[in-house]
Amino acid sequence: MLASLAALRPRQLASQILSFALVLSTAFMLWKGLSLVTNSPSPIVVVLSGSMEPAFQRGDLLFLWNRSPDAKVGEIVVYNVEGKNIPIVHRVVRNHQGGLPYTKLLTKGDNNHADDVELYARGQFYLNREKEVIGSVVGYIPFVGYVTIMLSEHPWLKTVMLGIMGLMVVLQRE
Amino acid sequence: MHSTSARFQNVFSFFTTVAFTVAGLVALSSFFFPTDTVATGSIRNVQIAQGRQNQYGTLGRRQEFAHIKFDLHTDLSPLFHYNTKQVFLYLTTTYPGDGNKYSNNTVTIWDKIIPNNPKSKTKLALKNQRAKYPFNDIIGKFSDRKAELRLEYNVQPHVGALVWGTVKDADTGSEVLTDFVLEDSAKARKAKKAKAEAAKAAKNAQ
Repeated sequence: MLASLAALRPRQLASQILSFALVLSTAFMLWKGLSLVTNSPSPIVVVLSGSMEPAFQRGDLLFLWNRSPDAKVGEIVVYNVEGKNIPIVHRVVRNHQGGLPYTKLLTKGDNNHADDVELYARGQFYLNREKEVIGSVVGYIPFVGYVTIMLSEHPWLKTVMLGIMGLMVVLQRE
Repeated sequence: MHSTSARFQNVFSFFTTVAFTVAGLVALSSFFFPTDTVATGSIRNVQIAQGRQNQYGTLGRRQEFAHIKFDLHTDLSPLFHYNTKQVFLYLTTTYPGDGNKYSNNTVTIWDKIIPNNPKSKTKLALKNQRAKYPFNDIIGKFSDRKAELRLEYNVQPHVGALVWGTVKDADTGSEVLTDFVLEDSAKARKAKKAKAEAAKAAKNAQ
């Protein structure tokens, strides 16, 4: 692989590096652009647990929207409890509106028997709409996000993928 | 150009293009299905009782909880089409604030997941059904506030946009099925006691 890199002329090498950088920055800009449009730090999420089955299974892809100041009962929101770093996708079952910064929510997974009070911080019985919710689900594609779950649960797959990509680069010199 | 990897790449990109186009068309087509549904609903019984919230095995403060029983009749078959994965049906009560900052309150009292398969019933006839979720107010008491009952749904597609809606009342066409009072339990208890004492006094006087 290194030998094939050395065989490239400097200009060719520079243009290859540039085009690679372009691909990376385009992906980054698209993600950040979408983040701006939807007003959500994470506009597309992958479902990680089965607590919303049968609506959402593990690996399903969800599109979020965070422009509405409220989150009505029945909406499915993604929230991050302060101090816990796992985003949770659950349905709003109670909404207590108290002007924009004070709206309080209670959530519950469709597949869970009890509401989410046990998932919140100690002494916290309601979610803060403004601080803790990062968007509500508006669109759905099944299964497409399963790759990311596979990669995070079986780290050796990353090595295999990198290996295959490297092999292809070497083999494709024609 | 005609290497195995190039062929594999072409086949894979063609497959993803076709899959995403079909998925997009299916998602768009589900906007053309009408979603008109009607229901009749009424409240049988509202009981306000004292209780405590519970978190991590620790009991919270004592406060009022509402236990509701209701009747409900509806036909949801218009919501089921080929891109419906399930319908999430939920009954909500909405009530105003009590001079506090929470001016608008909505609480789910009962829900049902109806998956789209030939076995599931799309017509519901519930009589004297106990609400699944007894609820407390965020400030802990109801103080005779008037509440409205609505039946709402969320259609979950196989692919595409999620759709929300409210089932209209079969007779009035309004979104509110019925209304009822979340009574002040302390006041009601006092009134009941006073009535009993008055009856006792009347009996003694005879």
